[in-house]
Amino acid sequence: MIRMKIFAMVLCVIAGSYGCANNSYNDGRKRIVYNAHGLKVITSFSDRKQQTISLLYGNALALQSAKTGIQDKGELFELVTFKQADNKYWYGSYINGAVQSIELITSYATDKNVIAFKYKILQGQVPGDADARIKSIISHRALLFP
Amino acid sequence: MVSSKKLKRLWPIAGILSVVIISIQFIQVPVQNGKTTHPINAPEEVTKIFRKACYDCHSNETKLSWYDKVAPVSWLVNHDVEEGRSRFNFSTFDTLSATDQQVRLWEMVNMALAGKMPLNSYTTLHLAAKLTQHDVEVLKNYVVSISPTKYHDSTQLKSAEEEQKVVGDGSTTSKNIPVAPNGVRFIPDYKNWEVISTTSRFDNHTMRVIYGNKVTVNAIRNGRIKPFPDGAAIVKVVYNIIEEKNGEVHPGAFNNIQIMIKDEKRFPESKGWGFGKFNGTGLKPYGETAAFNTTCYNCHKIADETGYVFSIPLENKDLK
Ligand code: HEC
Ligand code: HEC
Repeated sequence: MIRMKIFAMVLCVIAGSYGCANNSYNDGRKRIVYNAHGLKVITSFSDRKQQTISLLYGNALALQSAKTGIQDKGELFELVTFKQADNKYWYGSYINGAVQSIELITSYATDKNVIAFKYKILQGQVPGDADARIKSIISHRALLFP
Repeated sequence: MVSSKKLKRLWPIAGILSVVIISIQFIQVPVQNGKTTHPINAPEEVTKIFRKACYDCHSNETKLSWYDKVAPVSWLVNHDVEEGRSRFNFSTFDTLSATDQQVRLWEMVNMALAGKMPLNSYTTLHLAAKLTQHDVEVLKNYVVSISPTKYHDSTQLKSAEEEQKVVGDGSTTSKNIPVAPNGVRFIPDYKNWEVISTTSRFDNHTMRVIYGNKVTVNAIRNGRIKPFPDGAAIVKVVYNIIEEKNGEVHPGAFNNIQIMIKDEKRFPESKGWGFGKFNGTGLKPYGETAAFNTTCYNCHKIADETGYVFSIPLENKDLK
């Protein structure tokens, strides 16, 4: 019996050290940089009551329309809403935490050549209907990036 | 067992040692206390905490115990006091501008929260100087109280509106590249980098979009941030904010851009990080001389656990 126990313990130690070697950098310690697939930042805003912090990304056309206020077809907006988290080493700063929702808007020209929008939620849940969300998201003006 | 013969031989050594210890007591001048001309102006409850935990090193009212005055301990203590006073001094604190005082006070709270101040080497002998949970809460509440929110601030709204008029026409895109006094150049290409984080601050009422170049982003994704590799570059774009009572925080006008570049050879005194700050849409380089680099680094020491970078994405285990 004792031999079995010792054998099991040795096995555990070996397995454990293997685990350590492979897991020295385990998943929990990893950090994700949000992948916006080359889209550019249009603006960022937050909500201290909802405790969210958002980044609005867009393709070149979306960025352009957020600068001029004139819509065009072929625009792509991606609104990423993160949970607001405390900045670990600075009391006084909130930082983006886990992704809460991702919303996507694309623009196209109708038969009558009017610009219209399609809305899709890629992740999470968002209050408000599609029309209200489109109106809100495309109303953001671009930040100045010198 | 030490034989009595050996013991006899030790006597002269002990003698020499005592002579050395006694004579080194005269090597340096003891800490001198200067005048308190412009003491920090804060509620009693707050100054009481600073007095017990920080004054020995950050004021002209240093009160050392006898054991602090015995060399070689005194050499260490004297060095800490000299260094501490040179950073900021509670006895002359009120000579700083209101903004500088505010920045410094938030830094104090964060140094304390990070367990870096008061120095551990000091609290091991001066137990009474240790901060309690209650002390920390008092300090946190105090800094919040001196940095109140102005809701729907009309000045901020107006300057944001003015700025929108020029966002579209590209007139604010920089043509020549400004350079900071330490040689750190502005990097216009940051707009094509990936965003590593975005932050919203209730200490100085600003928000930031923080970009990293490929080297930086790869380092973060692969967990190679202690230290960050050479070639890493981070650009932080700072905006004022417009805060609403319902909790919404909207970006206001552009404020400044701050840069960190990693180059071990060029910036050995700041763990390889070269700092740069460019103010206003004109991107006016901040700092009179290259020495400004140290002042940036000194505060970034709080984030030494994450390679001196504060705003990197949270670890997966902390995502809730
Ligand atoms: C034993 C001496 C000592 C005590 C006590 C002490 N400090 Fe310090 N402090 C120092 C020294 C030395 C430095 C410089 C350390 C460094 O940069 O590595 C420093 C640096 C700092 C800095 C960074 C300043 C800068 O240049 O950016 C802050 C903030 C600070 N101390 C706050 C505090 C606060 C708050 C307390 C009390 C709660 C305190 N210190 C107590 C010695 C002390
Ligand atoms: C009083 C403390 C303090 C001083 C001084 C300071 N910083 Fe920072 N810095 C911070 C904090 C806190 C953050 C992260 C929080 C945020 O921006 O929301 C930060 C973030 C940054 C970042 C983004 C990367 C990161 O670490 O998160 C850059 C770049 C930067 N600072 C540059 C500078 C430059 C350049 C200077 C000097 C001109 C400077 N800092 C001085 C506290 C300081």
